[in-house]
Amino acid sequence: MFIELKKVKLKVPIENRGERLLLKIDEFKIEANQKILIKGPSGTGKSSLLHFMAGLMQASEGSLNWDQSLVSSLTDQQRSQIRKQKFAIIFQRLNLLDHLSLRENIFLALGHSLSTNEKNKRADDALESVGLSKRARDLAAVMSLGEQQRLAIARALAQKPEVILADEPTSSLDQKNADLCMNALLKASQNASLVVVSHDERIQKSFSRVQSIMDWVP
Amino acid sequence: MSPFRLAYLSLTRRKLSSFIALLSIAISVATSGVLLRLYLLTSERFSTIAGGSDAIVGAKSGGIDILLGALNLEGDYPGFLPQKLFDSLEAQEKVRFEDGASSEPSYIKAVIPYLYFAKLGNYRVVGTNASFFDHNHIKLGFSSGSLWTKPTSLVIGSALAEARSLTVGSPVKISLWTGSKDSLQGPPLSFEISGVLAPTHSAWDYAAYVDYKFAQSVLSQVNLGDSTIWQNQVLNYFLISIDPKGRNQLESLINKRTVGQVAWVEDEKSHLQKLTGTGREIGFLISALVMLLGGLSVTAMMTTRFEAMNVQIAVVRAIGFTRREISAWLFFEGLLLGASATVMGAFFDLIGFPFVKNLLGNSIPRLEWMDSSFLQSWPIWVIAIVATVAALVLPMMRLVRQNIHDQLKGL
Repeated sequence: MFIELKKVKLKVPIENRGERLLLKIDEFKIEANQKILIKGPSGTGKSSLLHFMAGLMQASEGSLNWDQSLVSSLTDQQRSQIRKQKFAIIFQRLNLLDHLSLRENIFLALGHSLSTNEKNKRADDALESVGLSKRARDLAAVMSLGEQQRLAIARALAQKPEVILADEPTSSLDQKNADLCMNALLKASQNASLVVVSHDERIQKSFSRVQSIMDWVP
Repeated sequence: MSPFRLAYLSLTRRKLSSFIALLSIAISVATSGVLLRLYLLTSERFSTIAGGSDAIVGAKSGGIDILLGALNLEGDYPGFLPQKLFDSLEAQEKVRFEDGASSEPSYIKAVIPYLYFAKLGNYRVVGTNASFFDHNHIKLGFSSGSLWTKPTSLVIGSALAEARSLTVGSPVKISLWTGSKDSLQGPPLSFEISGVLAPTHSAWDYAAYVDYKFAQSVLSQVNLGDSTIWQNQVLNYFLISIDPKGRNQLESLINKRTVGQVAWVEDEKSHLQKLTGTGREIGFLISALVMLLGGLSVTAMMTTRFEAMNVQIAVVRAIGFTRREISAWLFFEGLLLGASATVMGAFFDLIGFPFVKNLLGNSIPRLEWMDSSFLQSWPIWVIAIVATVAALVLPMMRLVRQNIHDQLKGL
């Protein structure tokens, strides 16, 4: 699956003062299986760009394509279904449902068509990959921020998606866990595209393509 | 993960908030249910008042007390009247008083003795005579058997027969009841049923009847203390049928010259209706307000609960849940909570109603006479479920307009 942005203008509302142009992108394409890091300082619109690519927000101008599908022409239902089948999204925070266990948070993202055994296997493997297998039954509410981030990555691993969109996946982690998670992400994206937005310089070496968001800041 | 499973986990994992919501809704349901049942019962409060006489003479007290004591089998044990007064009225004898005045009650068409003296379980046993069953306005027929043929046989009302599975020939034991605290604790008396009355759909269905002469003979063996100066030659009430022209004369005779007081049946019924009509209207208003408040509190609680779930909803939408799936999740969560709270509220209603009823005492009819099943609270249950579902409207409207990006960014 590829993602293509053309003549996109992302704007954000300013309280009582209309809107501000956040990003202006003439053309940007993420090919299937590409690993891209979009880097840049905080507050420059990295998260907004990721949300836009996931179809969670709309641009003021321009188009977003998922393969040949123009996202703006899809219904909300269709966008949700494609997101569930093909995307795994790791947010900077607020990734989880606090009252669910680690394993249940992973189940949340898995399709109804999978058997219980398959769901269990995927969840266990994913938790193993991020070093959380012993805490599968703990509630997400009792986890630290770093552990929650690792769980969000485990959920992406279990989904076996075509595209992984990750927003600052290592920002809350120490070096050891950052390495663990990046390895897990790279492993999960062996057959998938990986787009990471981050200001964390430590992870730059893991990507074949690095894009600075400052190129799109007007 | 299915929406139902998600709803179930959302309820069971957040125990404290779920429990508080559950309890609040349950209390609303129970309170509204109890009030509704009380309202329905008070509406039926006087439907069992028996007919059959124009006036009742009782020991001096309020007219309504006399009416309910005699014709609705209610209240505490009544005071006594002398048998001699009854005899004079029955014989329509000229009554002479110490001050030289006299009265000749020829306007009386029928006078019936009425004496409480025992209880069969919780049902009152009335001492009377044959005229009770064939008096002026109502003829009390027998569905089986006949009037007593010996002192230790009795006639029972249809509801009493049904409630205690009694038929003609059944032996029964009755306990003395004369108003004193320990009268029910004496040795029981053995009787045999001689007849069962046909249903009258009135208080008469809930009593037993024996010959009042026998009742008086039993009272002669009981220490009535200072409640009577006539020993056992007493009655509690006289049921009177009268020529309307004699109304003033009877009042003058009984009220001014004797220890008795006349209560006119239709007049006292009118007084009751006026008194209770206002009470019922207020009761209905309060019930309606409580139901409205209950519904609103359910809606407010559910709305608040779902409002607090906005971020969670944004997360699950972002990972691919459709609006339909999320709506189903919210619907199941509301339904599970509403249904569970309704069941709990119905249970509170079931166990709490008898206590409330006892607190109100004689303000409402006896439960064994009325259908007071807790199933009568069903409109409240429906309102609670509807309110729970109605509470979903706002979150679902927000769901349609929800900006996932803003929500996840905490904007």
